[in-house]
Amino acid sequence: MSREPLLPALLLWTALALLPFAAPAWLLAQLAQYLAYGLLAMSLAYVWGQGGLLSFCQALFFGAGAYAFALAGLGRLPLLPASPGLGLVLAVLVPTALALLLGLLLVGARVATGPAWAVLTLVLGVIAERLAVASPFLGGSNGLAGLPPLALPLPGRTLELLDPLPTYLALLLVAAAVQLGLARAIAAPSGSLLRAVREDPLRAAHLGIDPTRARLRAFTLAAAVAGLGGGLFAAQFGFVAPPLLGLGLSTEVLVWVAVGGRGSPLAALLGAVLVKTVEGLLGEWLGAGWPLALGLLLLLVVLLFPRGIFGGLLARLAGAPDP
Amino acid sequence: MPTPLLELRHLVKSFGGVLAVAGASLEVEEGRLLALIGPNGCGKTTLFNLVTGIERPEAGSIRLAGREIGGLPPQARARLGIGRTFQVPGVLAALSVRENLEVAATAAGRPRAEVAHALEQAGLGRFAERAAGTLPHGLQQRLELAMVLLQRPRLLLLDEPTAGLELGESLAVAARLRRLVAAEGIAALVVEHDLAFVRALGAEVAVMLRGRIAARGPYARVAADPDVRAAYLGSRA
Repeated sequence: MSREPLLPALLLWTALALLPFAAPAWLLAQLAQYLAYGLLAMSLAYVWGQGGLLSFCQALFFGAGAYAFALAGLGRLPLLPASPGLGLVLAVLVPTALALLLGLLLVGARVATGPAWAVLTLVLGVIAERLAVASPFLGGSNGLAGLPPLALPLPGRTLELLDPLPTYLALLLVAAAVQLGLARAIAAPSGSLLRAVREDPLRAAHLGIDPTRARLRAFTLAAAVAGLGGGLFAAQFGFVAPPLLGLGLSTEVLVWVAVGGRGSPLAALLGAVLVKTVEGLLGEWLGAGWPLALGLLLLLVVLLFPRGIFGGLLARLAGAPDP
Repeated sequence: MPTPLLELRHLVKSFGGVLAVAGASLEVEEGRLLALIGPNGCGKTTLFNLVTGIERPEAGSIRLAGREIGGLPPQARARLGIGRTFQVPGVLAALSVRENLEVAATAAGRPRAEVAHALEQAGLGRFAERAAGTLPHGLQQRLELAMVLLQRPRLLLLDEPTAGLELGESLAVAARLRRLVAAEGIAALVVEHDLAFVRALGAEVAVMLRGRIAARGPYARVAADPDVRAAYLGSRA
């Protein structure tokens, strides 16, 4: 999709902003968590749907953001003070730098498509999780707990993001800003160059586009968004653990994005919220059998809605050409 | 004598021990239309790939306006003014016709306002919002050429622009090409199998045989060359 339709996005964010008047606190807490996952889903939708890079290690950047937040919040980084605010900045910067480095190795080595890319990104996620388990600095398999919450300096006082309502509102604000920012990036001229590279890198190069640079930019931007999501996730829960980096979460986010629609970050975010909600409900109804039911549902969605449940809908609203 | 726009010297390229291009040399002057013909497998498309940077030569030099470009990636050569169309039209299938042109304009640093003009000129206005991959072959070729022209190339490489077209259509393409070269002063090198089209182009012809340029001149003279007749034209000439 070349345009994220603006109206559905604005309606959604307005509705979610009004939700605290009607919803109980537990639901807001739940949604705040889903919105952090939603940032991860949007990052994958951008790099996969727009850039054509199906990354099996997107959680690596989410986890790196979470760990960066945790280490800075606990004051474990040499020369740096213990500061959750600094942690949130590092939650963006560290995954960005990591993606730039890995991207230069992977994208620069021209393995950006096909099986080599899939296997390499998959392996990277596994390695990262193992490293975190083996590293005492990162808290080993227990991870790091007792992180201080994020605090917003307001006039006259400091608001700690501990309670569901301010946490929810902060996540909502960030998610909306990221979604609208990505929509802008997609509609911008550089967004169409990225799609050209996705469609046919060789043809794009013959038009004067540098495919490696376009992919590297997309990969890095997506990592920054995923890292931000990871940092906010860690801030909500006050702890981080190796599975946040690993293959399990990287696969989960693929499911969210496939269900929601990879062509649009907004659709992917809705996919994350939908799948997490359905997961919870199926767990209540079916007990241990829920993954099986979820798998069947996923199969149905992929067969019936190749653009994703929300992706197809948004594409029609945007008047995108039929595939 | 002025420097030729494109100057190929003793180019060599092999694949798995098979010489595809075996010391080919060719010059294309500014504003010149030149047809490149030769039997299947004689190295024409490989020669194009060497010029646009898909392949790197093992030996020899490629100069554009006197500058060696043999080591540059395709995107750098495109920015220096080499435009190319492919045998299978290289349109971006999932993107709309308009977005294809927008991509070409943006990549070339041209204002997006030129897109509307290009749409009209190519006669693609009413297909603007269609996915490019759903257009019939002939329209995809037209779109591809419009994209390449948005680059404002100095040198246009056309790989079998009439593949899949009927005679009437291919003669129309020949007329359009002649007008284009005359009006814009672009140099064009056209790989073509269709000899009726080559005659209609009214251009000079270079013949490629076994990886080399074996002859060059007006169509009638090249067609009379005994080597060329034996190797390529046979009884069809």
